[in-house]
Amino acid sequence: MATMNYKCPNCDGPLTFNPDKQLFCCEFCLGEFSPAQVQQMSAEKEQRETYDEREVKHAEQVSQEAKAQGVEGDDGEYPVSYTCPSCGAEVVTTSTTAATTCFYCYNPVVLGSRLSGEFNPDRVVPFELSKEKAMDRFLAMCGKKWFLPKGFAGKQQFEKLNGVYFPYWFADEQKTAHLAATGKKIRTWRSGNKEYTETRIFHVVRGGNVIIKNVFERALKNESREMLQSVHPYDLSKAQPFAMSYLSGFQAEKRDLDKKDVEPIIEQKMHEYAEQALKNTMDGYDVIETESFNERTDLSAYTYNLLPVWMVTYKFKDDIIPYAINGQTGKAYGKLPVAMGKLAAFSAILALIVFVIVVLGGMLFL
Amino acid sequence: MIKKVSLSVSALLVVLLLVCAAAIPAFAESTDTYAITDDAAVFSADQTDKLIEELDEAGKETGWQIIVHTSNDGISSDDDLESHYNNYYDVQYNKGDFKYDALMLIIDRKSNKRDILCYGKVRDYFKDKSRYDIIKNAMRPYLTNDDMYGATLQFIDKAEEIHDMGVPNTFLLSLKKYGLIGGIAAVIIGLIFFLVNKSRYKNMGKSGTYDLASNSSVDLQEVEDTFVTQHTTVRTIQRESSGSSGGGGSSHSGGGNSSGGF
Repeated sequence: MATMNYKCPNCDGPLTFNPDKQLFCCEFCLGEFSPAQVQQMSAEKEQRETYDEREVKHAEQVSQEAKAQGVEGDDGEYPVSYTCPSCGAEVVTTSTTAATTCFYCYNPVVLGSRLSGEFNPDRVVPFELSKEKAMDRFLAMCGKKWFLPKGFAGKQQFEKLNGVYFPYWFADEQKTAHLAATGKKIRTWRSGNKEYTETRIFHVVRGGNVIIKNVFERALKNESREMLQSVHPYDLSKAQPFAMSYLSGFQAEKRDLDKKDVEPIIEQKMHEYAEQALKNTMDGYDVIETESFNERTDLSAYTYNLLPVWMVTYKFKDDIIPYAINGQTGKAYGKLPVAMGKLAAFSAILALIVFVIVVLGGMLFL
Repeated sequence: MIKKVSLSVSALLVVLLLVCAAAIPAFAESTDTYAITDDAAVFSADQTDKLIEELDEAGKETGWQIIVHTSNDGISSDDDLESHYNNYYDVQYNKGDFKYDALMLIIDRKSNKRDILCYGKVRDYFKDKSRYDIIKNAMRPYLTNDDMYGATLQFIDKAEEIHDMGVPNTFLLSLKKYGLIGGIAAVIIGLIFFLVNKSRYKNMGKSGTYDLASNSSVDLQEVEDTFVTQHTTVRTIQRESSGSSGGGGSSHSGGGNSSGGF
């Protein structure tokens, strides 16, 4: 079996990661275990489960055949089915799902094989924001928005909030860079009815080693790039070496973009950031115009990371709209629906108030 | 010698009499309901009597002091005309105690200018500027024929008519005057509010995803700042106009409204 879940050593209930406590908790016996304890308990099991790839291979083979025949799922994905290790029910996932929940017994299921070998992430940033806090934060934000459709900001709407680990590529690079620019210092003063503007022009050169860290790009093709990029930034200093147990109780996605797929985008960003980093050292100039910039990459390190996002999708006027909250910092991204009638009515009332003020004010000038 | 002195005194007296005669208006009469000053001598005695009768009747009906003033002052500018006769009204009639609600017709024969000024509560009746046009339009045919008497009768008649029309609804007047500007401003502000809010809802949390300052470090090995050249440009600053001509403010009775001359 390539699927696995994490059981409480006391009562055999499912263990899930609690973001508030940063511990694994059993909701049945209320037992709490540190990540190190769980990893130690499940190391042997993870090893055994991961090596038994027969079912995975079979499932993937079925998926490949479906793909070849063009039999897509509802969402355009090619479904893959596994067996739940707790109840034996069939767990249907997309081809990139690495962790999910059994729809029958609600036990967390980690598809270990999806995150093994070349797909084994280097690091994981554990959830720090619990579901309740994410929901409260979202509802608090909704409370400040007057033009949401009626009933949108109800708790019921967001009970479907899911914790998802999304895959990202991160890159650190050390470069030797050289920037030549024209710097201008501008001074303006007045004397009598004359205004003088003195412009002093300098040739400015900066060269040296530039280190740029944590430049990221999503590693998942199908999810909205804008959404996956906009939930950043994350504090990578809190990242942990990857352990499958962190995924228990959450969903996780396997990357389907290789390093070579994202490398051009990241290298372009690195280039721009290196130039900007050197420009930032050109203090005291009012204007800096680049004459030439060249750089060479001396060291480069790419890592594959899983980052936590609270996700919810909602249906509004036949559109499925995703909403994402950074599972570490709470930063929110999303396209909120607008009750156009309500907004139009408020705009009309505002316009009417302006009109009345102008007319009443005009009475004073008759 | 005595004869010579008496001749001089007589001459002086004649001159004084002439000066006094020039200073005294040809005709002037004033009551609480009307006032008429015919310095330009445009009305005959009969016409003056008839005008007094009409002015008195109109003044009693309206409760206003209705003033007709003719002169040979020769003031050609509309603003100067208004300012001059506001002062005149203050000195001659108002005397600083804001006594009257008055409507005054000015006829300056020398400059061929006319103006209608109003004071006190009468100003409320003329907040609708088109009411000046009612009087002007009624007077115009007579003025074209240089019939000042006929024009003045029309002025009195229309003054009564405007009094009967009552004080205009200032809200409707403002609506007429500023409605278009207000409507355009309202539409623009309403539209901006609509679009800004719509955009804010559609673009939540898009910015600030990478902090370069905290994710980069630079070890500089080459630093060069070479002065190349400099140039200075000079721009002449246009001084703002001081606005008024610098004179002190008028002290007349809160300002009379003017028809703007015609």
